[in-house]
Amino acid sequence: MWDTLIVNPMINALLLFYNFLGQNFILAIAFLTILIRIITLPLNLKQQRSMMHTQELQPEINAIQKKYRDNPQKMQEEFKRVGYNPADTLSGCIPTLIQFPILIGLYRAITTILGTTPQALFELVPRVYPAINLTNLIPVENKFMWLNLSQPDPIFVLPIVVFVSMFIQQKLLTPAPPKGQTQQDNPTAGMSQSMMYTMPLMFGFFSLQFPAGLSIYFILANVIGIVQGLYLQRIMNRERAERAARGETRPYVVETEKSAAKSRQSANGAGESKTKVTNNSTAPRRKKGSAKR
Amino acid sequence: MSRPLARPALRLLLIAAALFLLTGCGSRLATTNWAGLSTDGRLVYLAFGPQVLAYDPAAQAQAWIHPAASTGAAFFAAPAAADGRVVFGDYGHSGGLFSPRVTVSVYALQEGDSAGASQLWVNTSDARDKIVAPALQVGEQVFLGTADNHILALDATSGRLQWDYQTGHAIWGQPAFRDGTLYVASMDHSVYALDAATGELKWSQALGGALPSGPTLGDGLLYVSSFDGNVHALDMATGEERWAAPSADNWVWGAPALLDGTLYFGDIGGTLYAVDAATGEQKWTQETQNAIQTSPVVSNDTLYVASQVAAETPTGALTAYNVTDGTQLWSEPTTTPLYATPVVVEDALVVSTQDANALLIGYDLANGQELWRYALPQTSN
Repeated sequence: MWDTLIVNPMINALLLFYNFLGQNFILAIAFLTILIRIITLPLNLKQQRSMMHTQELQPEINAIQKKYRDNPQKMQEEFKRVGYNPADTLSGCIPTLIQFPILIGLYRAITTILGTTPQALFELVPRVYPAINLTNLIPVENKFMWLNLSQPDPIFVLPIVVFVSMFIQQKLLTPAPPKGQTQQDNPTAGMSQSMMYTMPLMFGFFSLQFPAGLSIYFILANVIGIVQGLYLQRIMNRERAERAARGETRPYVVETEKSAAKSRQSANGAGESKTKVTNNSTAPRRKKGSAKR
Repeated sequence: MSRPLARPALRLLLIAAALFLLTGCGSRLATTNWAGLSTDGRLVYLAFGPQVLAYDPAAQAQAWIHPAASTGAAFFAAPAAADGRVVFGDYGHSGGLFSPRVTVSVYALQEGDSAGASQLWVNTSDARDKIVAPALQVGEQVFLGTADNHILALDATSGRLQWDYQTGHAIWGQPAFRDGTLYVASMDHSVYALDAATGELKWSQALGGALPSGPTLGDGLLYVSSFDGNVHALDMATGEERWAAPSADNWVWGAPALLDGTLYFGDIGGTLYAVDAATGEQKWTQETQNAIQTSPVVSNDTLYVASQVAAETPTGALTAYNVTDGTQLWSEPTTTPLYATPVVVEDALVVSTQDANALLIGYDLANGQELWRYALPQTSN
């Protein structure tokens, strides 16, 4: 079932692209990566926007949760008013969940196609659709520069590039928390900040173990993610600017920062304190679905 | 209600789980293959994964096993035994969790008069990808192909590299040697004739498909099986193609067997062929219904073929045919598919299976009756 629905179509897609792209397996992986990213683009964009949006709203969410702890109905109303939908928390995981079968399927497809043992080839044969002439494609070229695509990169270049490209992508997707805000004030932002380092480290580490072909998929997917992130950032900035121009405010942020400033003042004596509303003060208070453009 | 905190944490957890699942799906090295089987006419040698063993069918006892305990390396290339020296390569072992490097080794063991074998040398520096091909020992030289496209010539006494030659893709078949020339069939679709002393190329010939097995040497011709559905006959001196047969749709995987001017081979579609070795003219065919990926074995005017039987749980069959007309003489089922070419030791035909309870099975050449079977002792499993 798993093989029929995920792995075998990927194997055949890779072989098809390999055939049409001058029997270059790197190009086949690149083409498949782009195709996968195009298919998952709407979901990815939604997830990234939702992630950025939730993080921006975190001060409001915290304040509402604190204020209406005993009144869930009012809490929901206020969430709705500031443009936060808790259900997005779960739906936002869907793109990540979709990536798993893609990742595992691609791993299996690459290792099956590039298997350099007779048994691996034997296992490949029944997976290939009759329309593809495997005899002309075997053996699939597994060498590219210094790389054997079926083995990990022996000189650590790919794991490093995987780490760096994923770090840049994570950095783009993870807005810096507002100045003066601690992890306690905004735990989601704190978690995102830690993910910014742990995810690239994790993928970099696994690139030490995985075939170079899969590392190339990671790198290409990250590069596309970076471009996507830059595009999204531009859109979000424009939206912020538009909201600022409309003079929208964030009452919960102002309220939260005022009370935080007050408590700092009382703790420090007559310390200098300003209730400063940063550019976040003009951040979204939009209706659900307004993110779509 | 879901807390916002849950999402990144959940995402991280899910990705970590997926990646661990990925690593569980398959190891970094493709370390699975069927066992490699060979004989020196007295002992049977089997590279079955974690170890290599020698089995004495006459005594029905294991002669030796190497290494004594699994080291992480995997062995599947059929060992080459000559003059008491056994040579084989491994699939490599990784440098550890934080190292992407893979070390591939070639081993030579010296068999003693009494049971046992001692390590003569290990070469860990010259092969860079797994060794699928059986080695070939000729005098004081060892030749073997690697999955990283090279054919290596090593000094049989010291294991030192004498020369290496790079082909276009992996080499899975045992090279063949005659009159100072080494003949190598590569998965890159080409056959290479090399000077055995220097590694210098004499000629190469590109054919229509990948060449998974080593060449069979005949009278002035060499024969190679190909995924293009043919056995190709090449002039040994020039590499010029003399004929190709039978132009079937199915891959011809196993090397052809040659006896008295007739070539015998099967394809993975299940057809068994007998063709004239000089002309390629077909003498007879036999539909076996089983995928044949091994080389036929000819002994006493009988053709023995190990094959795979397609089923929900695939099994295997060992079948004997009359060499004259292809008539089936007997057939014995096995519990697992037979991928390795059987070997003949005295009056027994020996097959290796992927069943841990029957790594080796000996059959009576005359009637297919099972004579013995060998399973690893529990401590070695």
